[in-house]
Amino acid sequence: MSHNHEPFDQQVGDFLDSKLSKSERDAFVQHLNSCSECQGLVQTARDLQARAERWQAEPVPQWERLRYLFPQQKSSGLIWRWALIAACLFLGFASLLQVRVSWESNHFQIAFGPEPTVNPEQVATLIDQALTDYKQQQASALDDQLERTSLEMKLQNEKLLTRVMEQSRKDQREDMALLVSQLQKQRENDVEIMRVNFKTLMQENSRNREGLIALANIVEPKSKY
Amino acid sequence: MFGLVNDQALAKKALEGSGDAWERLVKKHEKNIYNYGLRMLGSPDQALDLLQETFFAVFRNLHQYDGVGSFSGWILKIASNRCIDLLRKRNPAAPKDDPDPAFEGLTETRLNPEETLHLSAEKNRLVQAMQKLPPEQAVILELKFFHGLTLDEVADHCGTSTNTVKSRFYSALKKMKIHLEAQNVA
Repeated sequence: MSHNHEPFDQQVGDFLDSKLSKSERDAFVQHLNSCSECQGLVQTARDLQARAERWQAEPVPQWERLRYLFPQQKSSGLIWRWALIAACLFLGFASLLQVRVSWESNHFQIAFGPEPTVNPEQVATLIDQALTDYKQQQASALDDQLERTSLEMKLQNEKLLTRVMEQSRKDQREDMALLVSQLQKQRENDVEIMRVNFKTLMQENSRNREGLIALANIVEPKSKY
Repeated sequence: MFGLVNDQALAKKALEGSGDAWERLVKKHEKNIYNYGLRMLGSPDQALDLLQETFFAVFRNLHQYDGVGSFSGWILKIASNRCIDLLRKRNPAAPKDDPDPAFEGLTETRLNPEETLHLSAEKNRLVQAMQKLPPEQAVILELKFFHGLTLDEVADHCGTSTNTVKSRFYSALKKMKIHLEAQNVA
């Protein structure tokens, strides 16, 4: 079924917003009663409204709200925080070391320690005295050190000499033992050689003697005649 | 009224560099914008992108907020503009309106339906049906039903004439009727 929806197509929103005059509303309702298409649109609109009211909002995932938008502010804040810590540390150390800053003769003077209570001459005398004491202490300490070093060196030398002597004696003993051992060995060798030679000589003498006896036996009967 | 003053005070403190004020302001409005993005874009990732881009734009223009009108309406306007820009970038060939009735109901879904599966069945059906509307029509339904604006207020919000909004509203309703009925049949 075909309908002429004008001007009702423009009035659907106003009808839903209750913005139609009474006469417009009556005419629209009359149109609705005869137009299933417009009825369906109004129903769809009410359905959408109901769905919107039932919509449970989905939770937002975690995201960086500050880093994304305040990079410079955060960085600036960090710098100020470190500057504050540094300033606190500086003041703490200054207080601990009793730092005093003063302006004298066109220049700054920075001093440490408590405020001086004596005049400069007294300070100079005290410094001279302290320096003299320090010098004497150092000289005395140096002498002691020298004496200790000298004594130590003497002991070290004696120890070294003793060790050298001991080593020398030991070496001599070892040399003598080696010499005796060599001589003994040589003597044994000589005795062995002599024994062999003597044995050979004895064998030759024996053979000579037998030869002489044999010769005498041959010569003796001839001498009887 | 108290909320308006409170938002203004937070905005002022945020402009002065208070991260705490900014965070409170964002937390107060982020759920509204995120859910707007879910319905309009159909994807949690893109909804989060829209949320971040919106609040980035809000922060950059915070000094321009004059306190006339609600802060939430001002943020919503920024989000709507960003959202339509995103949808236009996604599908630059899509017509703003499709006056020829022969094409009604044939509009392609703007997003892969799988991307909306994380939602409940009813929400999923609604989001999928919304995805089939041209962005300019979808935003009218969004503002009308989910934010309670009259069509005159929607026209003011979108910077278009009331008659254009009424025509788009009528077309959007017709398409939604078709898509929702098709879902019921399926």
